[in-house]
Amino acid sequence: MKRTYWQLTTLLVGALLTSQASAFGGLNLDLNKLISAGKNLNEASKDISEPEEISIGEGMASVLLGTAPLVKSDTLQTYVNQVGRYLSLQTERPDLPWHFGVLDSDSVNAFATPGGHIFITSGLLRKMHSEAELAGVLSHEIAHVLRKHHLVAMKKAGGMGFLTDVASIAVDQKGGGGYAGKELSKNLISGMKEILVRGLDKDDEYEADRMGVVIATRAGYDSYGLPAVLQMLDGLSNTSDVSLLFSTHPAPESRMDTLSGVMQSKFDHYQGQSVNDRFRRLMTNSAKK
Amino acid sequence: MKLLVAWVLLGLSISLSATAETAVTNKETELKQEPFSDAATLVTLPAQSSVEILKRQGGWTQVKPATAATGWVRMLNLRLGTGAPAKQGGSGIGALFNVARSGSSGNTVTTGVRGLDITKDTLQNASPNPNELKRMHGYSVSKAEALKLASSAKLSKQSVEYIEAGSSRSSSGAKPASSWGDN
Repeated sequence: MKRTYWQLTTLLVGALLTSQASAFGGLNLDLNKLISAGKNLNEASKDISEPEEISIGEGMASVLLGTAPLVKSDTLQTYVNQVGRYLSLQTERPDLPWHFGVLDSDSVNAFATPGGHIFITSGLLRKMHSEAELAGVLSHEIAHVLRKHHLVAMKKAGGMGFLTDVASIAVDQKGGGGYAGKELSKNLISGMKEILVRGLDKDDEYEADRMGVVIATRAGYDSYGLPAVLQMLDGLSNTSDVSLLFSTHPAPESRMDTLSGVMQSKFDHYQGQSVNDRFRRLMTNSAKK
Repeated sequence: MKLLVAWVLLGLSISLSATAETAVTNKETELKQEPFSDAATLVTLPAQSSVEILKRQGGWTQVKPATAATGWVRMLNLRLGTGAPAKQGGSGIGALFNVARSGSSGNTVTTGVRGLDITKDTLQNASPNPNELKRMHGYSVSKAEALKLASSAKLSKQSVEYIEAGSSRSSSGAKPASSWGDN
């Protein structure tokens, strides 16, 4: 009952926002259609298919790449793809089309988009000491994809509008499309931006931390790569380089405390590798290139 | 020119490793003789003890406390810095990167003084970049290539179950079951 009430509220708020958007942006949206669609909320809330998930993720990845391009180093991009792809093999979704990219940005951050696109900024990479730290951060982002955190958040925020837009992707795909080469709806793009700007639920971040530590450990890395990065972040001043990361995630100190509580001494007996030398060499070479 | 860059890099890496990094304990912490929970306890450091960081090994950090001999503490019981407002930057590999960046060795990592910022504003104003997405897809590697990288670093797979949030979440106020969370 509570859920129905909440969904209805979301729908009404969504409708209000939409009507406002049409007043300002001249978007031609049919309010009545939107409200009548509410009758089929349960039907519409059903899971989004994997091809749809991947298309949404490609669109969102394209938006992120609109803020900063990839670092122009084939060696570095290939290396990060190898590390990330290896990590993805330790998970329950090894066959997604996983892609990894280093964004050329001084901002310190990492991102995931649905269906397997993972990003890390060169700003964050430069503050790391080892491949295990890189693996920890990539694993945290991989966990967001595994648990479909962004899709759930978009569904929550966008309600019917989001699902209608997703349905239109599905139609396009039947026509042989996929994301490449076609325009995503303005609504879908603004919904994606909203999630990127606002961030996920705190519990999603804590869950990704817990899963990230496990995925990196499964791969044979030092379990404390991700905690070490959190410790590093905790020591940074709140400058513009970290403002988005800090405003969209729980404080690094809370994340460390939470991990400390659940990891306890459980990971002591795994003799994971930190892989410093290769990391250092790769980073230095790609910087010189 | 190349030689000069190499010398600068070498000098820098030496100065980096020579720079002492400091931290403070965020809670009462046992200083252990070895990096194991059942190793002998040298002394119990109170919260807010200043230590110099020597190295990290897994979940343990070797430290030299101002008031005690060198030993090992749980890594997550340390906050970097002096407890005063955080210092700028980190001791990561960044400095190396920056030298090479600003050098005249024709690097292509970035064209400007700063890379682009990813902030709330730049995200809101971003237009999709399908060409760059295509480039990203071009870097994909096969499972076999990924496994090759792993084996060259002798990474071996471990069987580990996901961990639950449980009741030991610090924000819930519950005490962790193990004594480690308390020390």
